[in-house]
Amino acid sequence: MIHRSLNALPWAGAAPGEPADLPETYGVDVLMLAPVDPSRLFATFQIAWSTRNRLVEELGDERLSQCRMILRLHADDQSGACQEVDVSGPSRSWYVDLEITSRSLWGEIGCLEPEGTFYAVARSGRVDLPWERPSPRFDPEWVPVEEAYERIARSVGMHPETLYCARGCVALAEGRDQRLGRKSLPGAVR
Amino acid sequence: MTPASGFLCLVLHAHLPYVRHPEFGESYEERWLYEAILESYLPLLDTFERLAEEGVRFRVALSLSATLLEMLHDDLHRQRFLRYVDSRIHLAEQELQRTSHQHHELRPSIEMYHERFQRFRRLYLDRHQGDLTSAFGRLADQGHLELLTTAATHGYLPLLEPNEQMVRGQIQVGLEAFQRLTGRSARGFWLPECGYRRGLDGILAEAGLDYCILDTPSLVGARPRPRFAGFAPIRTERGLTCFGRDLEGGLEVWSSLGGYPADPEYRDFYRDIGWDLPLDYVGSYVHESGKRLNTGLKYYRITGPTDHKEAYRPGEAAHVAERHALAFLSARQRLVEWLRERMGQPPVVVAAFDAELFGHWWLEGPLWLEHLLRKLATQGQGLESITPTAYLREAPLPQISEPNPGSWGDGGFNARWLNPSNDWVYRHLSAAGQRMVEMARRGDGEDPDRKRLLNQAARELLLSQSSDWAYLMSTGQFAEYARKRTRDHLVAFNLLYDEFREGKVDPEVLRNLEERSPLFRNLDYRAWR
Repeated sequence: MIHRSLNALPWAGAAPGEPADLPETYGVDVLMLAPVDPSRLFATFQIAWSTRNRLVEELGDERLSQCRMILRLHADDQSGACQEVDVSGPSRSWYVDLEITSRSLWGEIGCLEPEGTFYAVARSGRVDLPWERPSPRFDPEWVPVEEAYERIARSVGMHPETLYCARGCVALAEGRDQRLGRKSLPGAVR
Repeated sequence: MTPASGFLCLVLHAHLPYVRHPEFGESYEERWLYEAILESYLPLLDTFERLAEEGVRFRVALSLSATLLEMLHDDLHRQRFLRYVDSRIHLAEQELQRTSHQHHELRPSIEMYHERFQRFRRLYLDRHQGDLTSAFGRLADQGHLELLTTAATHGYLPLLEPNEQMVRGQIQVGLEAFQRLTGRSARGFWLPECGYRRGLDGILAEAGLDYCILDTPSLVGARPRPRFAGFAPIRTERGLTCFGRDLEGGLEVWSSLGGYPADPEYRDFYRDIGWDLPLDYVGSYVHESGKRLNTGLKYYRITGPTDHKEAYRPGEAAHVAERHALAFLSARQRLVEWLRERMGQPPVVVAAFDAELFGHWWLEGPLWLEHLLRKLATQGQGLESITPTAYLREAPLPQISEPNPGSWGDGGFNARWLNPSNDWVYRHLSAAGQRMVEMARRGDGEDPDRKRLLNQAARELLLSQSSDWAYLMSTGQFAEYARKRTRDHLVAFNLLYDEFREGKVDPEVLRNLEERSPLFRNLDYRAWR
């Protein structure tokens, strides 16, 4: 599932709250990825006018207009997992719910022709995601004191077993927020 | 002396973003500093000094950010702070007159403020000649405080790009400013917002730092799973020790629902005479524009979940603070006893908070802390106060483990600093970061003006990276100011970048920018190579 950023406005325009006198682009192709939490990623990109012009020259206006802008996320491990997100349209900031489970990934953005040829424009650096739950792995010389984990879980009203389920670390943080009396983030993406 | 059954490590983090507006007679945002000095830093100093003079054995870690230190050492702020305190004293005197024949129930509060403002003015000016840093340093020399610091402008390190150079710049400049302004080297590092991402440990260890503080979920989710969850530090393979905050104690103090500061007897932060009294009466004490603001004089207690508030009773609130200190201590003693049986070694319970909670938000916080430290010294029953460095000297070698990325913000990860209210900043910060690396690698060619330009560009970049701006945009409070500050520093940075590319230096522009932000005077742009 994809969430468009509320800031998603045409390339040529500023996002809400974004000062209009900051540069529209910086003359380079950039893809920046950043984890929001263990299962959600923020992607923002910019494509230089020179790159767009080069694509027009190489593909022609008509073929380029048939292309879709695609964000490809690749697992940075042996799994070869890849997630494709259609980011066509004016938005340059996206929130992506991750389908690949690798905790380390990189991305590329580019144009995808209808017949499947992909023209990469920009690559991101590697991004590391938080783990979703406590590790099942432990050092035999340091066997975990399970009761300490149980106590931490109970302190925020969680059943201890929930800690080891999917999104256990997220649930722990959310339980803490509830106990703290924190309200949801304004304009939260979820 | 019996061996400790466990340790309580109190860590207070004092930080404010860099604010300086000589162009205005008065600015709303500079008040953040003056309120924090008068309501938090001076009361905390007063508490620590009193305990030290009475020979109470206590240890607390205090994190002082570089931007806060720079402002505390700034003569403009010193003068304006004194003006602020004097106006508070005058207002309290005026209030004593106003209530001499009416509202007698409010007079204990007014008398309390009047006495406090005068006492803290004397503490600031007569006793310490406006030099709070040296005062905290003396307490560190006596072994009561351990001083640590944080990133130069409190940049939220997990989201800075390109990460390695940006983080190194934040750390090096922060450590240098701390060393210059306190005369000591920091061994510990407060990660802004407890924000951690993989790889930060190596950069921090390379900078000579021994430890940092993380939130509980970062230790609970560490790889391999830590034996002691969050109740003993872990050590990364790159040699950085990571302490975890105690969740239970944090909830007891921090929770807006059932935390101590929410007790009905405590002073209500939100009822301030700046809003309650006629503007023509309080006008000269709020803002020169006539806009209503907090004055710091608040006469009501929390009372309960009602708009009807009853008069604050300082004596009763003091009793509650003592009771809460005892409750906190008892709960930590029970926790430590319970853990000790299961761990086979003394646990360390880390109670880490923003320093500004104490006194500013929670008026009775410093008193609570004083009672806690006194009781810990005399009724600790095996629970001892300790600082992180002292703990590392005494404790067994920590387990090797890799912390989970996270923060102490809502949701436990990056969402508070990366959401639709503020995500536009990262496109610009990332581009500025790339440009800074490009400029730093090209160097100054041994041209002094070009060197100044590069240093100023780095200064503007640092100032644009403060986690405070993204946070304020996210909360909606002072969001316009936060956007403006981000924008102003990025515009200045890009201007300097353009000049650098064109091989020119406009001396007037450069001088104006340097004068606008006179901090980090030893900054060296080569940290960004």
